[in-house]
Amino acid sequence: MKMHTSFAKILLVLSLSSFISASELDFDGWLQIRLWHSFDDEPTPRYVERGKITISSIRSGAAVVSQPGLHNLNIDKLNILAKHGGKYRLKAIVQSSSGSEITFLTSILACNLLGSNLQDTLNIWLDSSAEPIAVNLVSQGPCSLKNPTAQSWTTDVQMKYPDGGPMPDTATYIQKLEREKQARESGENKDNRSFFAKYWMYVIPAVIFVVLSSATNPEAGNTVGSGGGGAQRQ
Amino acid sequence: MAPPILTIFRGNFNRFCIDSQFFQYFIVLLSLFNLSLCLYEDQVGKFDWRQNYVGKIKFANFDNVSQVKKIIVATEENVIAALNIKTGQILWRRVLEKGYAGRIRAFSNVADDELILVNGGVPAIVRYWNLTTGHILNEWPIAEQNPDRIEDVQWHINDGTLYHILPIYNSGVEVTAYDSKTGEKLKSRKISAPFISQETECVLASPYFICLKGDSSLAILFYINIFEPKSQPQSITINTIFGAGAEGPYRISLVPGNIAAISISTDNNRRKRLLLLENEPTPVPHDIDGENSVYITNFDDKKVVLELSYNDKITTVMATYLNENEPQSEKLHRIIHNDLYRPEIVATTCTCKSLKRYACKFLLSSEDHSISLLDKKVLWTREEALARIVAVEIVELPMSDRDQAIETEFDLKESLDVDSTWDVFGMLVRRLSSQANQVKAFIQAALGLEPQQSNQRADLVRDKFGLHKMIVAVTSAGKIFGIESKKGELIWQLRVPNIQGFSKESDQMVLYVQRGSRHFPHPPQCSLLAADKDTGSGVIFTFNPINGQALDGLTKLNYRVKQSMLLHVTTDSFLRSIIILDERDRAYVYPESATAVATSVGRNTYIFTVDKASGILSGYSFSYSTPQNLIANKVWELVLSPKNQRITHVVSKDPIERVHSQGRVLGDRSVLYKYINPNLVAIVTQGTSSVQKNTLNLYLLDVVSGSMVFSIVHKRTKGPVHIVHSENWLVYSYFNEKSRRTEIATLELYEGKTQSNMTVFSSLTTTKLPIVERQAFIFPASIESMRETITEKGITSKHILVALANGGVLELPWMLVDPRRSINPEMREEGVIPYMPELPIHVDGIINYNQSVFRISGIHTSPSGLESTCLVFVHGLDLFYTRVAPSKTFDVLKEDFDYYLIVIVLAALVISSYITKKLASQKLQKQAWK
Amino acid sequence: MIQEIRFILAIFLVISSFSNSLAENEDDVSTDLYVIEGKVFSWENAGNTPWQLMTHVMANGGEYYGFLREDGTFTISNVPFGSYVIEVINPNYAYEPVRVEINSKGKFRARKVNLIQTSQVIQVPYPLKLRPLTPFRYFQMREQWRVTDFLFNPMVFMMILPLLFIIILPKIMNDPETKKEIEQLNNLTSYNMPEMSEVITSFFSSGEKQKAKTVKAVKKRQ
Repeated sequence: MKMHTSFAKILLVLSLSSFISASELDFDGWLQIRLWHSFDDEPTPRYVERGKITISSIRSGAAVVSQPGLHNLNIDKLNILAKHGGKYRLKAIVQSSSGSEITFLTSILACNLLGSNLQDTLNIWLDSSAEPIAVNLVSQGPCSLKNPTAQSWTTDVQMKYPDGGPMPDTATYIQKLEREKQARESGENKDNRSFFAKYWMYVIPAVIFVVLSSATNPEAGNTVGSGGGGAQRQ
Repeated sequence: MAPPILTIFRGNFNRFCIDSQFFQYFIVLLSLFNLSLCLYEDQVGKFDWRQNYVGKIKFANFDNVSQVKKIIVATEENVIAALNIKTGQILWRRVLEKGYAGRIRAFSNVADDELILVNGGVPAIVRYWNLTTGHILNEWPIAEQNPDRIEDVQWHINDGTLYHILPIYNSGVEVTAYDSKTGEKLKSRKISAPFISQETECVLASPYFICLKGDSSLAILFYINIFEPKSQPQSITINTIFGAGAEGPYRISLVPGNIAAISISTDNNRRKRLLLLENEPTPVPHDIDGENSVYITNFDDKKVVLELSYNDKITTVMATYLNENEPQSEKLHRIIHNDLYRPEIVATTCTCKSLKRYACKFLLSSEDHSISLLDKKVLWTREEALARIVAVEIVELPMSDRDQAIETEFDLKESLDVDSTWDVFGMLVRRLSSQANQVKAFIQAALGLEPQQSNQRADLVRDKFGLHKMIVAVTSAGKIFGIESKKGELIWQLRVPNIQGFSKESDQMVLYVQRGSRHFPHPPQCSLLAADKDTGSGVIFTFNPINGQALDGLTKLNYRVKQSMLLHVTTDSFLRSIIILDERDRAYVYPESATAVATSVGRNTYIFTVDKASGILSGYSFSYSTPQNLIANKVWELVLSPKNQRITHVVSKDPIERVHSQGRVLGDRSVLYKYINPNLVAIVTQGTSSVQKNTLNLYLLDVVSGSMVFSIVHKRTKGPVHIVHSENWLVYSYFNEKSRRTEIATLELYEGKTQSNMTVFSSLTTTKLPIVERQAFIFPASIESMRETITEKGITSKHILVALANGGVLELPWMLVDPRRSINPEMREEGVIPYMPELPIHVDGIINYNQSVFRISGIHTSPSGLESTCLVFVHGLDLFYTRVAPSKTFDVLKEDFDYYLIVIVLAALVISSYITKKLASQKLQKQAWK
Repeated sequence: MIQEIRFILAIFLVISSFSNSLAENEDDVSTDLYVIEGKVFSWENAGNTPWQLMTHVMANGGEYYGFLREDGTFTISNVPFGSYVIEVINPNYAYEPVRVEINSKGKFRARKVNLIQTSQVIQVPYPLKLRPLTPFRYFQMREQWRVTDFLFNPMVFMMILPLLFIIILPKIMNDPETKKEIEQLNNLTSYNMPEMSEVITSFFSSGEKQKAKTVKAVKKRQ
């Protein structure tokens, strides 16, 4: 009996999981990145190991970065590179949970690294199926030639996913159309207010004006009329 | 009394205004004010033209049966048309479906003014046309039993019956007969012919089906009559045809013409012979050169083989009469004409003038796709290569010779050579002499005397507003045309032999304008970059785009071209050089003499490549170049794995584009600065994996630093995708599978309320990602191509030209696809109209009114001398050219400006003022006398 | 026994849900092909023009074409099941598009195209009967210059009207009869237009003013 119920529970969970795989949820996975870098000022550089980054869950973006510090030799090379306006190159080999291993290359102006005191950001771009498509190194710092005070890298890792595409907003439009239709049907009664109610603003001053003028005028009319009459009689 | 009443008024009045709809509509009306983009009826044809083409001929036939004598052609572009015999003009034309579904597979002989056509793939459709009127009489589909063998199916139409012939390997031939008019299946028969296998090369020459087996001198031709129910396979050896001494490899092919015959070529196509197949296979003991094209026909009852040979512009037509024992050859024509290039005869019609004298008209189709009619001399030619244009550039015309002579007065370079004349006296002499020349030319023109011969057409010069330009069109047949833009006249043509596009799918070649026509005395120069047909390595062809003469000719490069780029700096002679990257990432400069200039800017020059097969995008810098050598080193690489997606478009901005305003003024008077990155490229990919099957991905990538700026994904969509990338926005269209409608989405990139750098944009130092405004709209028609308008200074608003599938080209104002169109109707901004989900197609925005242009493959826009006008060239199966003025012609007086009215009114006023002055003085006088 | 049944039911549930998800991924390919038929009507006075030549029918933006026979009927063959927007293409006349849906059992339904509310069904008879809606108006009328535009221009009006008055009035004045008429009119309607300020002050302080007026009147008489 107990076995059957637990069995049923397991089966239930399994059947539910099949539904999950059929729907379109965001994928999650892990990434293992190995970094190599080069301070050479030549067209074909030699790469030296820099460190490792492990991202256990792409969705949360939590990364564990392990990079040993920089030798003074490398810092000197970086300075020389910055003086020549050259680029610091980074090679990243990314292993993803789907089993693929892809090599990416990125570079940044060496003087920017010096200016930001060896602080850089690694942007890892994923496509809609959570496969890595690009690894970019960016550094905020201004371009400077000063010696850095730090001896090791401060790296921040950020995951970037594609945004969902915009959809034409038909729902609001349909609602607006319906509202207007309703408003039109009920609004036809609204303008049946009388003429007076609509234009009282203009009618009242005109009436006041006429009243006032006729109030003063009977006197003037009387005086002139009688004056004229008087003149005639004479 | 007034002030109290007015205050009461003001309060009510404001509310009155805001409440009423009137005010809102007024604003909308004002903002929509420049949206009426119509043409006037009298402007039709004044500055636009259209040309219709049919494409390369696949089948053709003379129609001598009906009243109007015409030529019926069916072409590779899936078009059937009727051409007028005398002039070659199109009488009627029917465009069938595009691509595989419309491919014409069989064409019946013209009889009774009706034509039967089989087109399509699986399954095929048989259409039955009336030839005088061009409308269809009936149409029926053929169900296909073996869909994967469709390429091997042959068709034969005879006497109102359509035969569907399918060879089955190692077994026989399956013949199914249908009534061609109604589609009724008549009978199906299987003829056993065990000699058919995958190695044999088979040809249907009704009533026989012939296969060639074997390669060496032991090759045998097997044949069987497939219409005879009890026929047996028979064979004939190669030696019977050629005699001894023939060597393989052999090829057989059907001879076009009215009589069933095949040609067998031997000795690696050095010579060939014919085998007539009417009753019994009869070999014709006459050697024909392998290069010549053959056509077989009959003059009355005599069988004639027409042989066409082409050698260095000389076309010779030889006729060989076959009725006697010894074939007798006679030379019919010998023509030297520029329009013919390795022609083939596709149809003939002969009328008997008198005994033994025949007047024949031959329809020739050349290798460069042009069609000509030959009757003693070439009567007319149609340049059908223009039905497939792959690259277009619009080039400015040079100034007239006289103006150029004026310019040389002040040409420093010329005078530096001769020091003695660069002084006051020398300049005076020069000026006087040039002015004397001008006076002479003026007097000559006034007296109507012949002007001096100049090697330039008098009207092919730059006009006042820069509206007259030269369109340089490169076609897939390797032919380059120069078309002048006023009336669409073909000025010059150039043939570049043996070239093809870089990839099999797209036929794409690259045309660069290395030097314009503003730098007299250096001639303008254009270069075409393509791949060689045999080896696939790159070729460059340089020519002058104004008169069509080759400058440096064809240069063969011994490497494959992976990417090329036009440099932005010029050499001393104002020539912009081309940097070419080969497949091993080595960089070359063309011309070689410009290497020093290229390496001097190498530090700041970057180039990027996209490999569609492996999905790898890489960026290279030339910073480590030495003055003698250009060295490319990789600085970034990213991968769009082909397991998940397939790259379909890589779109960058037009390099000559200028952005006029740095930002947008919002309703509260703050500025939203635009993110204008000239190095931004949009990459569109289509999902390929089962999970991502119907998705569209769009990535925005800065190709100098390799950093991705933005990515967006659309699920449940289908192509084809058309994209326009300009200034700080992108507009792209796709088909939404869920709602089954075409949608257009817009993205606009902004930096924010502050500008990161006021002076110059650098991809290497920008780190902030832009804010992206996005919106999608429904578009009620299907789109074939999209392009934005462009003007010299970028002040005019941008309109998007959309080519629709119903033959119209719509001018869509960018304001309608602005992503900041607010859904909330209360908030208003300048120049922003409220949101409506569907984009309206205004009929008066269709720039080609009723001149429909079908199968548009591209639109090319070019700025003109006027800031308000943009020149548009639409190409596809047809060509159409016109001018658009997105903000109306604000810099020119309008066409119907009432000059006369103003003059009359002014004159009237002046006269009346004088008259009244006189009258007034007279009156004064009179009064003074009283 | 009941537990056995429950057990079996659970297994069925799991299998069905898995097969459901699997089935969603497979493509249902039905190989039946159908034919869409209809008739296109020409516009008035089409008559002898080759209107069938200029017109053709397009399904789904060019995927399939249908050509017109002499009486205007057309067929679009080899169409698999699905939803198609059928449009009639003619350079001079606009026809309304129709959506034809063929379901996998071969049933046809034709309805009006509504791209915003895609689920709205306003049925249209099938086989299709397509009539022209309106001719295309591609052009804009040029602004015609009319004499009235010139005369009613306010500036011109302001110029000409006073001119007329200046010329005509003296002529009228010289006529003696009209002079008398005008004087009479003046007498009748000559009460001075009361000044606004006077009216209001009189209204508010009526007593004093009346006295002043009577004094004035008396003065006049003397």
